[in-house]
Amino acid sequence: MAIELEDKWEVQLRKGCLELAILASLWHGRLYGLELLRALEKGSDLVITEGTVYPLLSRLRNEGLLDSEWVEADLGHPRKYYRLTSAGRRKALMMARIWSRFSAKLDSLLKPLLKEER
Amino acid sequence: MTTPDQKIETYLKRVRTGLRGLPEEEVADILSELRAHISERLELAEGPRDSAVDTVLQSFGPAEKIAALYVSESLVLRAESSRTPWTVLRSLFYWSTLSIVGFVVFCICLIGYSFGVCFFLAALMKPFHPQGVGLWYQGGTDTAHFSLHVGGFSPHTGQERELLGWWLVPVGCSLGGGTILLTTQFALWSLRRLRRSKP
Repeated sequence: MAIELEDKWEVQLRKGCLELAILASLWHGRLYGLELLRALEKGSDLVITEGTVYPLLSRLRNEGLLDSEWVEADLGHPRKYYRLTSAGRRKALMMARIWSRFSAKLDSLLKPLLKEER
Repeated sequence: MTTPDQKIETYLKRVRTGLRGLPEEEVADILSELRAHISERLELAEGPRDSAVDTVLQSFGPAEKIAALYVSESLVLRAESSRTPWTVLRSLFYWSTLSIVGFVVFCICLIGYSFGVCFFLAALMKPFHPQGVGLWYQGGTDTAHFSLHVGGFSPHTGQERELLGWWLVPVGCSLGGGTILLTTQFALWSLRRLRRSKP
């Protein structure tokens, strides 16, 4: 029961952070789907299935946070690149600020718990 | 025996089937993106192509699930942009097949729109059937009740008192419009919440 609750909580937590993680991954420039998945795996602990990332990117594009364009690769297949729109940049910045403020406060609240555990 | 390429095509065909109802241009774009991703993953994969295809398709998950994620998103978007009862109900009907909450919201909105249409109908029919359409009140010692007759389905007996008269036209139009508007607002709010519950 406790493990189930832990799992559910973690799943919800990760799901809630996914949008911010995607927007943050695109902060420095355009990426295509596979690149983005790798960036997420490398830069965060978020594991997102390949079948989930594309509908999610489609949603963010529909919301006007991302732009997409097909680019012909010199070798291989054409790739669909995603980049942040100005609305996407604004939202990423706002979410990052909220997250940073929130996690800093929560960290200080959690410090005694983790100290005791050690 | 199924070849690796046939497996990919069958998978994409299942996605296409699930995407039925979306504009063809959008479907083609989605399938091209998935195809490009699969091809690139296969180029990078080591080992026999057959098992690499299986791994890649497994990591994508069921074709129907991907299609459902796209379709639900597209329907919400269309409902938000058009705001017509038909597109809103269509989107809600889709969600009603996915969850109990979706089903409840669909039923509430169906009832809401039905009421809205009835109010409008009453207002529209009044000039054509002034004696058959209206809001009547019948008061008695034991019982008292209101009745709204539409289209002369059950003409009143003449013992009741009509409450609104010709005011039924503006009141019916306002109530009809208001009910439809409120139902649409509720539906869109619910759709946004339902969408957020998805990945």
